[in-house]
Amino acid sequence: MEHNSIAEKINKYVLDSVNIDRIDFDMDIFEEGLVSSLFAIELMTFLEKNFEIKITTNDLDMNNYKCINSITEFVCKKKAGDLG
Amino acid sequence: MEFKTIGIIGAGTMGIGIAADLLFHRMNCILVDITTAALERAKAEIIRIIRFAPLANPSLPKLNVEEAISKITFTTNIEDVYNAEFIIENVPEKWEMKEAVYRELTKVCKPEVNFAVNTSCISVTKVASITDRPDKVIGIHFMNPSYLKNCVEAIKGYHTSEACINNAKALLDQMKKEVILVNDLPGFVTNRISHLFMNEAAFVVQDDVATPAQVDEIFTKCYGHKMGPLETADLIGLDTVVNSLDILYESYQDPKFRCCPLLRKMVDANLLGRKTGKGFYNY
Repeated sequence: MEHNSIAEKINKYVLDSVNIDRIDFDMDIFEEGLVSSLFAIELMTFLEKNFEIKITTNDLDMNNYKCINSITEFVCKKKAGDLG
Repeated sequence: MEFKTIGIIGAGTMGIGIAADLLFHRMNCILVDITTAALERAKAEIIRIIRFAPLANPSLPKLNVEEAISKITFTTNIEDVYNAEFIIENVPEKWEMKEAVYRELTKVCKPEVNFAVNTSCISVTKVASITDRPDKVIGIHFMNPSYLKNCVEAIKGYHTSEACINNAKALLDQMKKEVILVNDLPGFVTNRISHLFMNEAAFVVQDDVATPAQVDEIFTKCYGHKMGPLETADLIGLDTVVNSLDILYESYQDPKFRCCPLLRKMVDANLLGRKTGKGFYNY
């Protein structure tokens, strides 16, 4: 799956979850109060199911999940095996 | 006293969150529900929480999943809690269910064991009256999800002893939770007030005054609340909200607690919120 289609899929999931129409891919969704910390758990479940990756304890870093771009980058690295 | 093994009755949303919370705080638990299917769902969800919750709450330890899950006994036999040092009961807000469970717990548990009623509306004094130990029954209203919340509302029943309160505080201290102790009347502080908010918010949507998102934004952006009332209702589950409103209405005989018809209609349509994927919002 290409970078752009991964980003789009993540974007759609976040938008559906927060019931808004569009979002800046660099916006910190947690800092901006768009989602609660509980959403982080739902998000990781979504990423594992939809991108066939396995999130490990080493991946539990909020920097991986703060915005659409960082989530996309994280998923791409996991799929490429760069993060184990 | 340091607690090691806690009995949890009911493996629904609250029981799951509390079981995971106990694991994070190095305690064992015996998790009881009436069906194997409910316990299997609970196990999967607890694993998910153990794996991912430390991201949402960095103060939680990163546990080895297999080791942690082995500290839970999953069982459909309530007699398996005979060794528990403290009971936390989380069955649905239906009096008949609570009554049946407490009659069993009275037979099964050691006489010195305290019972915590995790309820949002049902009278702690009424629950205590059907046990053999009314002085050892206390209400603990855990917030959802327990592992992300550091405070509980505790409820002193008419006969609740100081020793029972101290035991509950010791357990909650092990779970790193602050306790706000209040007296016993249906809904206590939290739900007596919050259910009026949620119910009236549903009336506002029903009457086409505002959309759910607008209602919640007014609470989050204007009042600075972390969540709006309808998001909260979706998180709790609309069926639970309706059950609680019915109990409040019945208890106080006060029309201010009459349930909004829209809420009841949504429950009939299985639009229960997060747990069914659709409520005031889609999930």
